Amino acid sequence: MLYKKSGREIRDLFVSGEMTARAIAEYFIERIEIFDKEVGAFLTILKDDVLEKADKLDAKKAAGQPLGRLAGIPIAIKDNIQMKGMVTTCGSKFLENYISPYDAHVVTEIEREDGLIIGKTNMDEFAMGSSTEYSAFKTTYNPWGLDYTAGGSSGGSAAAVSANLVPISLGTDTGGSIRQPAAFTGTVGYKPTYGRVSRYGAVAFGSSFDQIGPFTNTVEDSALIMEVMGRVCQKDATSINTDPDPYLETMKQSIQGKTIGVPWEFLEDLSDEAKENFSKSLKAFETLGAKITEVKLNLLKMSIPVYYILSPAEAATNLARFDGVRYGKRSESAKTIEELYDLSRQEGFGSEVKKRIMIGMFVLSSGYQEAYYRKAQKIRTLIIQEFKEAFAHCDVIAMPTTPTSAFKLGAIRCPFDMYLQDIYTISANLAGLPAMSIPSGYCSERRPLGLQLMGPQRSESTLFNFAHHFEKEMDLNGKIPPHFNRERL
Amino acid sequence: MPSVSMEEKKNSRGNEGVAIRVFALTFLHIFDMISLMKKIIDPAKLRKLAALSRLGSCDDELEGMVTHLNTIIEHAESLQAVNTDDVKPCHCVLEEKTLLMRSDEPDEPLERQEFLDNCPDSIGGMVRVPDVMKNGEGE
Amino acid sequence: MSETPFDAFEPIIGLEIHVQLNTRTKLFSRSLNHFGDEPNTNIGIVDTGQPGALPIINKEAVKKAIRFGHAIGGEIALWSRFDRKSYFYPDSPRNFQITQFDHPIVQGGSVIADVEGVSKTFEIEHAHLEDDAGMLKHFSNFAGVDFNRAGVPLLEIVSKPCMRSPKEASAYAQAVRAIMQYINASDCNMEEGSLRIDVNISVRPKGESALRNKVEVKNMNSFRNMELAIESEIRRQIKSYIAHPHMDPKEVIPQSTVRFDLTTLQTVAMRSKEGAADYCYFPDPDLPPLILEKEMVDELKATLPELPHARYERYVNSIGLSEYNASLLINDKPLSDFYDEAAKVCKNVKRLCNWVTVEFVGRLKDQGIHLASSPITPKLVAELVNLIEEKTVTGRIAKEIADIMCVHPGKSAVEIIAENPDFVPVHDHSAIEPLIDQVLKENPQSVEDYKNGIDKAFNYLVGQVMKLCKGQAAPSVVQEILKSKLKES
Repeated sequence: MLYKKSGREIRDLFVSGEMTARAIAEYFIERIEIFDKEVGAFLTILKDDVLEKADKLDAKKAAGQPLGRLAGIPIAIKDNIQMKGMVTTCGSKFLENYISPYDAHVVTEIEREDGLIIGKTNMDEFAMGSSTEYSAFKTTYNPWGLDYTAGGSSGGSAAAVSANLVPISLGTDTGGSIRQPAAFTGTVGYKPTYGRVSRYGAVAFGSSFDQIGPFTNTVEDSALIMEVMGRVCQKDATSINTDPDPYLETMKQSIQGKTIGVPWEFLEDLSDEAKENFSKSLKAFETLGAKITEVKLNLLKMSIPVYYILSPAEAATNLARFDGVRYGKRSESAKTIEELYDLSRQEGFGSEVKKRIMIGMFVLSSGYQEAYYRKAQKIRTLIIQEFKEAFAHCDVIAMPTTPTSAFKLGAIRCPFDMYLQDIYTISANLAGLPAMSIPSGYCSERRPLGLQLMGPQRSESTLFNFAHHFEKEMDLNGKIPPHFNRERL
Repeated sequence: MPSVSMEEKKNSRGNEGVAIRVFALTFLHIFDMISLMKKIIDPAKLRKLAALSRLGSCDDELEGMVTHLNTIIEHAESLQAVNTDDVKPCHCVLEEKTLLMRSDEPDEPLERQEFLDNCPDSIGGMVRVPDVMKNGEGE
Repeated sequence: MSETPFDAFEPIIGLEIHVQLNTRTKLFSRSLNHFGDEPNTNIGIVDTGQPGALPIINKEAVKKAIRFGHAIGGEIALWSRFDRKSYFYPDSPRNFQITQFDHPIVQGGSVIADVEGVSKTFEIEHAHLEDDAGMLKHFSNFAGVDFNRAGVPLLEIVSKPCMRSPKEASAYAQAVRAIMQYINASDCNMEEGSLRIDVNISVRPKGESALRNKVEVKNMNSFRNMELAIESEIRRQIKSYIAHPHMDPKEVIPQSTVRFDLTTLQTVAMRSKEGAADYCYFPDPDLPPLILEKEMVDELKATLPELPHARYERYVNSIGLSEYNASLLINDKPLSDFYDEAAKVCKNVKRLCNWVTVEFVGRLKDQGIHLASSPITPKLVAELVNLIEEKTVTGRIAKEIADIMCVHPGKSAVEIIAENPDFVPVHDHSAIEPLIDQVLKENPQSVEDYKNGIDKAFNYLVGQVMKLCKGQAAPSVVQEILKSKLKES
C-alpha cells in the first residue's frame, strides 16, 4: 500500500512509470482528507496547486525530460515557511490571511527537484511552544495516542509523517521543535548544523538558533531531502557557503571503532524507563562496533536559562514587524497609530508569544542588558567551547531526546514546565550543532521514545552514518501507529 | 513559591514526570528564597515592558505574566555564578563565519500590487495609516 | 545677583550628518536606490519587512564608506558589526533599524574647512553605515507610507562637539558634502534628502570645562537655515541660563529636541518626552561580523581622487586664486572640474577663473542652467579667454561674445567672430593712421601737454581715437602708431 512507502520508494514508483504523479497526489490528498480529521496536522491542503504541479510533472516525464531527485514525492511544510501565493499563518491569528509574496529557499529547491508540496502544517504560534497547543487554530493529536501531544512547535509536520499522511515533511527547530516532536511521534527528525539550510523564507523566531529540517520515517529519506535543502543559498548571510556532502553515500560507511560520548552526569534524573531505553540504544551501538565513553558537559544545566534569555531577545525584535501596518491583522478599533500597534498586537498575538516578547525586551533593556543578555552571550561562548572539547574525545554525543514520552494534551499548565521539555535538545541550538532524533523504542504505554545524536558543527555525514546503522539494527523505523495503519477508517 | 503541589502534578502527568518535576523544583526551590525578597517584575514594570513591546495593556493577563516572567528571571540568576571574565560574547554561532558582501546589481523586486494585496489599508499606492504618532519617534 | 552678558557664554556645536550613498541598489537588498519614483515601486521583501526576509550587505556601499574614511584620514575598522536599534514607527519596515552602534566601520578622522578666510580642522568621532527608513507623507487626516526609501544606504558621520559658531558648522558641513561629491559617494542633494543634518547645541560659561545638556535640532534643509537655527538656539539657551542663575543647569535646559520654525526662524522647544527612548541596541544575529581584508582597504585608498582641500590649496597656492574664488570652485565640484579642464588649454588661468565663475555662470544662472551641464564646453571658454590674451578681441567685445555663446550654447567664439566681423578690432595701419592724424590735428593742446611730459594726455588722445573709431581699432596698434607719430612731430 502506497502510504507505507518511503519517499524514495514513491519516487521509484513514479520514475518507473508504475504510478503517475497525479495518482500519487490524489492518493495522498484523499488520505489526508480522511485521516487528518483525527490528527489535525494540516492547516491548509494545497489541493488544486499540487494537482496542477503533478500534471505538469507527468507531462515533463512524458516529454522525456530529466526528473528531479524528489520527483513525485508529496511533502508537507510547516506553516512558518513562505510559499508564494499560499497562506502562511505561522499558527497565528495575526497572519490568518497573509499570502506569501515569495518562495523560501527550501521551497525553491524542493520544487526544482520536482517535489510535490501538498500542504502546510500546524504549529505552535510563531514556533514558540513544545506541544502545538499554542496554535491559534487547532490542536494536533499524536497518532500514537490521540489524547497525547505530538510535541511542538512542529507538531503538525511530525504527526503528518507519523500517521503516514506524507512520507516527508519540514519543520523548524529553534530549541528542539523538530527533535522533540519526532521522539514523541516515532519519526526521524533532523536539525541541521546552524546555517546548513538557508533560513531565507523561514519566518524568524530566534535567528541564531533557527534551522529548517525534515521529518521522515527513514534515515535515507532524511539524507535525501537534506542533500537538496542544504544547497548553497546567496540570500542568507548566516548560511554555509559550500554544498552538502553526499550523505546518501557516506552514511553507508562502517561505524566500527567510532566513539559515542554520553554526559552521564546530566542524565542522572531520568526515569527508570527512559534510562532503560537509553541503555538499550547504547548496547545496539556497541554491537555495531562503536565505543561508549563519558563526556563532561558541566554547562549543559545552564542551557535553559541561557536559551530563555537569548531566544526571546531575538524573537522580540523579529516579531516587531508584526504591527498591522503593512500586512497581517490590523485592529478595527484603532484610531491612532499607537492604538494600531497596541491593539493589533494585543488582539493578534497569543499569550505565550506576548510573554516571550516581553522577556526579550526586558533582557535587552538598558540597565538589564549587561547582566542578562550579555552574560548569556558569554556563557553561550563557553558552552560552544565545552562541546568542542568534548568532541575531541568522541565522534557523536548521545542522549535521550526527551525526558519522557509524549504527555497528555492539557497536562502541562505551567509554562515553565513546558520549557523544561527542551532540556536535552536546547544545547544543540545554542552551539549550532547538528542533531537527530531517531525512534529508539516505546514507553510502557506504547508511545514512542527517541534517541538523540549530536555531532560537531558540519558533521551531518557522521550523524547520518550513525543513524543509518542504528536504524537497521533496531528495526523500529517506519512503524505505523495501529490506528492509521490502514487505507480507510 | 509554586502553588501547585507535588500531588497534583503527579496525578496530571503520570510517573514519567517524576524526573522532570524533581529537576524543575530543585531549581525553583533554591530561588524561592531569593524570590521572596526580590521580585524584579511587578505590575508597574510589566506595564512598562508591554509599552516598550507595544503589546497594549495586558491587564487581563497581568498576574499570570508577572509570575511567569519572574520565574524565568529568577532562573536566570544561576548564570551569575558562572565566571565569564575574559570571555567574548558569541558573535556568530557558526565558526569562522564572516559577512559576505554582494554585488550592486538589482534583482528580486516585489511588485507593488502584490505588496499592497496583503496591506490592511492602502491609498494612491501608499500604505495608509492614521496620522503620525504624538510623541513622534521618527528619525 | 550679577548680570551675565551673552558673550560670557560659548556655544558647543556638533553635527550628525546623514548621507545617502549613491549606490545602484540598497544597503541590504537588491531593490533600486532611486529618488522620485512612484510610491512603493522600488521595494523588495527586505524593504517591506516581509516575514522570513534576510539582509545581505551591498559591497559597493561598504567601499564608499571605506573611501570616505580614507578621505578624512580616519581609521578603517577591519572588524565591525551591525546592531539592531528598536523603535516603532510607520516608516520602519521592521520596527528596528540595522545600524552600527559600538563597532562602526570608520573611527576618528578630520576635515579641514575654510571659515571666513581661516583654515580650521574639525574632528570627527566616527562614521557608520545604517539603513534609511521609508517616507511618511502627511495628509488631512491620515498618513501614507512609501517604502522606496526604506533600506537606502546611509553613512552617518558624527563629529566631535568641536564647532564654536554657526559659520563653523556650515563650513564643516559643506566640506563634508564636498568630500562626498569628490569621492563619488553621494550627490548630497539637500532638497532630495540625500544629505540630512541634525545639529546638537549646548552652551556653557566660558572657562567651564564640563559640557552642559545639549539640544538637538533635526533635519536642517539648507545651510543657511542651519546657521539661523543654531544662532537662534544659542540665544535661547543663553537667555534661559541668564534668567535662572540659581537653578541647576540640567533643569534649565533639559536634554531635548527642538523644532526650527521656518516662519519665525526661531527654535521652539518641543514637549519633552518622559525619559529618553530605550533603543535596546544589540548585535544583529542575521549578519555575522564584517571583516575587511587589509589589501582591499589599502587599494581603495590608492583610488582616491584629489580631495577638496588639496584642490583648494592648489588653487590658492599654485595658481594664485583668491580664497573666495577657490572656495566657490571647490564647493561646486562640477564647476571646479570644468575649470580644471579649461585651464589645461588656457593661457591665463587666473583670468579664466573670473570668466568661469562670474561671466558664464552669471549668464546661465538666469536660465537656470549649470555651466558644467550645458553644451558650452571647457574648451570653448578657454578659447575665448585665449582670444582676449592674444588681444584678438577686447574685453568688452568678449563680453558680447559671451552673451551670444550663452544664447546659442555650443557655438565657439571663433564662429561668432566670423559672423560678426566688427567684433575683431582693426589692425590695419592704413585704416587707423588717418584717424590718428585727425585726432592729432583736432587736439593740439593735448599734443603740447604730452610733449611737456604729461602722460595723461597720451591716454586722452588714445581715448579720442577709440571714440572716433567706435572702439573698432585694436588699442595696441593705436598706441603704437600714436607713439611713433608723436615722436616724429
